[in-house]
Amino acid sequence: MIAALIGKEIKENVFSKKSLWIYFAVTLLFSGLALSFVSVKELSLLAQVEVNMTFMKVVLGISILVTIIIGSNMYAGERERETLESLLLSPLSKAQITFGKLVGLLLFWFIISLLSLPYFFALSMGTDIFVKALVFLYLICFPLVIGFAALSLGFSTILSSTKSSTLLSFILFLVTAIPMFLSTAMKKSGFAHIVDTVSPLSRSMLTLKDYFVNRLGFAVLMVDLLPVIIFLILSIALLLFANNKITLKGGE
Amino acid sequence: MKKVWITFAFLFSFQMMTQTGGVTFAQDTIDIKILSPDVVENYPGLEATVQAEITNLSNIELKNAMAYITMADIGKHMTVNLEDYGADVPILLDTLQPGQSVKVELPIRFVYTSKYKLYVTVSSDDDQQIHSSESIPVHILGNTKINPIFVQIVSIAMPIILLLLLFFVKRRKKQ
Repeated sequence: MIAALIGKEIKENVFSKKSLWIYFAVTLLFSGLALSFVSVKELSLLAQVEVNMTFMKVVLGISILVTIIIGSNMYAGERERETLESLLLSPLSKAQITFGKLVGLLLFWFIISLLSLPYFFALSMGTDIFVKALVFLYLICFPLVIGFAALSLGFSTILSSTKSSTLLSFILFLVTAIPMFLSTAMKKSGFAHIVDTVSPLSRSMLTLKDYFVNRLGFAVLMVDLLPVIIFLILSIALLLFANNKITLKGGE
Repeated sequence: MKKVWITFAFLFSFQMMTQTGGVTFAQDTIDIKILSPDVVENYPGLEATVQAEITNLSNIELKNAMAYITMADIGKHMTVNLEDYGADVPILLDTLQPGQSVKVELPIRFVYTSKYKLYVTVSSDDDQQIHSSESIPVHILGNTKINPIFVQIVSIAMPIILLLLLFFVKRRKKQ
């Protein structure tokens, strides 16, 4: 039964026509960026590791954004289409339904990550960066993406409309991304410093630098990733809490 | 004869006046020496620390002195945006007593391939003059193994494959 639910989510969110258009848009963006690395003079002067780091940042940003948009729609969308009741009446438990939706969401991210691989392969040619990109994408980005997926799914469960859950997830994403828009000096003081220290997105960028450029060891990378792991635990806790809040209203 | 002496005296005093009122060269109040490195020749991504010694040569204390790296791209004939190089934050030296020397370490990460002149600059609230060290040559070598043709092929092929897949799905649904 749960396999059927996952199948439904995949059909609706991973291989639907809308999703294919999203994949097409994503590849257009990846292509534009990759082409600029070989055609724009300023960017073509970047070190190869720097090129791949920039590309990884874009892949991560897009993955999270698309994940939160789709995730925010999952429960709230069912509620708006008035299909949630029938879903809850199925023999599946609420936890199983949420798990099925989360799997569908992560499969969506997985396809986006697969689409980025040919670009990484082309941009990392002649170096060991491609293997590093794979490790970073599937071991380090994965917890971050699960965190954001769980968060958006949690909001989608609690809030009644897709708009509200998308907006809230998007605002939270922007808050975690604040340090990326600030200069080095600004990041070293005040509120920006606090956000930079605890933001899972900012810390994953630090991990990216420590892994790709500084070539630091596993222990340092784990310390860098600590806020990401805490974020993942908190997001799953929110999702579990939200999951318990789903109630069957019943007919009138 | 008297007139000649008066004229001579006038011209002499005028000459003296123009000499004292002419261009004056300000004396350096701060001496800056780059201790290490002497030269940088490496690939992009190199992280280095520029060590410099700053000495207050004046007989007054210099308040709020700060030291920072400046780099000029001699290939493009322009200064660089040091934020890209992680070197945009100056080191505050606070007060420099007369004759005092301090050593500073300024981190930098070389990103772009080019030839540069790197030097350390010091400014202080009590001194209108900006002081710079002698420059060291920096040569960041190109090491990219990216094959532009291959990147172009991937960048063009990927959206086309997705577009074909979209048309295929659309056609299949119609059938």
